[in-house]
Parts: sequence; C-alpha cells; structure tokens
Amino acid sequence: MLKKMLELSQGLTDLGIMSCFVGPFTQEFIAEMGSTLRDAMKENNESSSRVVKVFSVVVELSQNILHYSRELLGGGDEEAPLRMGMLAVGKKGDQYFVLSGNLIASEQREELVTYIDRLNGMDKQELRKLYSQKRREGPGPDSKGAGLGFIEMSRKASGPIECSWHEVDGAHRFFSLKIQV
Amino acid sequence: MQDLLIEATKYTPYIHFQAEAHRLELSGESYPEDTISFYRPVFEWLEAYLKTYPEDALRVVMQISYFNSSSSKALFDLFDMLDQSAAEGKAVKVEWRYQADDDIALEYGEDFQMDLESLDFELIELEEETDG
Repeated sequence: MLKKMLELSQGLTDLGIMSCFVGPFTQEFIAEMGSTLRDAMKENNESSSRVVKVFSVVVELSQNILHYSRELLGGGDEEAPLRMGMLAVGKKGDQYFVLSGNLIASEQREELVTYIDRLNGMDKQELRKLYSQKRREGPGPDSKGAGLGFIEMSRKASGPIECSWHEVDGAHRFFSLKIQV
Repeated sequence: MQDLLIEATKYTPYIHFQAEAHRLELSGESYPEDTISFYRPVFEWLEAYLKTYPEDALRVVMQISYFNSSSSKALFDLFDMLDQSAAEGKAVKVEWRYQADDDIALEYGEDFQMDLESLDFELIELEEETDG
C-alpha cells in the first residue's frame, strides 16, 4: 500500500497535477480548495484574470459534483447524503487544466455528450449569444443551477472541453471532463 | 420600509439595500450552494421596494469580482426587475465597478450591459487599492 502511495504521487506529478481530491464534496470544502488554489496561483505570479478563470472552472465542476453526482455517501432521515467525485488541477507548459470525474446516470450520458459537442463547435460570439439567451430563459426542470455552467466554462476555456465516459454498471457511467484554461 | 442588510460570507456577497436613501449595494463574490434560497429575500425586498419607491433616482452600486453560473442568472433577474422599472420611466442607474486589471469583472459587466435594454448601466474602472 505504501509503495503504491509513492507511485501514485509520482504518477500525478508526471501528469502535471498539483492538486487532486477524491471524496465527498461539500460547499465548505469547495470554498477552501478554491481559496488555497487561488493563493497558490498568486504565489506563482499568475495574472488575476487567469486565477479567476481557473477558479471559476473549479467551482463550476465541483458544484456540478455537489449537486448531481450519482455516487452518494451517508444520508439519513435528517441529513442529505454527501455526493462523491474527483477533482484535480494541474499545469502542463503554459496551460492550466482542471479534471473532474463522477458517476452519472447512464441515460444522462448522451444528452451531456451532445451538449458538449455542440458547445465545442461554437465560437466565442456564438457562445456569448447562447449564454445570453439561456440566462434570460432560466433553468430546465432538472437543473439546480441555471443550465449555464457548461457555457460559462466553454467561454473561459482555452480549448474544447474534453470528456469521456466509462460504464460502471448497468445504471451508471463514470463521466470525466478535462478543461484547459 | 426596512433596509436589507446581509453580511458577506466566503461565498456570498455583501448586500445593503437602503430604502430611504434609494441606494442598493451588492459587492464581493457569489457562489452559494443554494442560490435560490440565498437570493429569495433579495428578490422579495426588491419587489416590494420597486412597488413603492417614488420619483427619486435609484442608485445601484455593484462590485462583484466573481460569481458562479447560477448566481449569474439570479443577478440577471435582479437587473431585469430594475430594467423593467427603467422602462416604465423610473430613474435607475447601475454602476458596475471593477478593478483596473480585472478584465473578467469587466467582461461580466459588459455581458449585463449588452443584455439590458432600458437600464442606464455604467462600467466604472477603479484605480488599484480603491474600495470605491
């Protein structure tokens, strides 16, 4: 087990990952993680614009896990369960990247992938227009947010949103995302 | 009516809406877990206020450096209420304040400015080290 820890650490470093969390997400944790990340980036003399962009993607992805992950921990009569997922931040060359992974229901996969493909095919102007339209319209019935998160991330990203999915069992997929900033 | 005063937290903004002074201020960051719950009293206050406030000019001061996507919708809806008041002839002025080197906050302001038709929405660049 201990040898595995070293391998894991080296493996993450080789990938350029500076920060990686797997476990239950809470709002407090997201705030702390975000704060630490911003401090670290400022120590690295990153521009304030870059810091906000990376922070923004981290918050959107983390809150997606917080609201939508299908992997739950605990929860009883009085308390809502915690939702589980993973989030990592790294840097390769001049690019920061943010990775997230969590379980989704199998039937959500197609809609998500289609939506991401659509956003990836849009230029900045088109994304801005879609953002504006969706913001005015309001959220869909299943959304705890405003349905704007992916558009927001697309606008801040320096390249297309990469996603992949893996079957975990009949009802679930592990859905992962990579966003470069 | 009473003022609305909500102190800032790590992930919710400072909000001070003053009925008598006709001044609404919102500053800080916004990324709460439950956006609807957080902004509900803000909407309720604003709705009540806009029904009663007279011909005085209403000044809205915004200085938000970051907000998540669901807050973006909430803020837009607040602005939309103000926009409707302006369309009805009330004098409403929004000052969107941002730090000089903060081009993200500027872009956020421009996004709102473009989407609101009747509202007098001004982008104000602050010198560094200024709280405004």
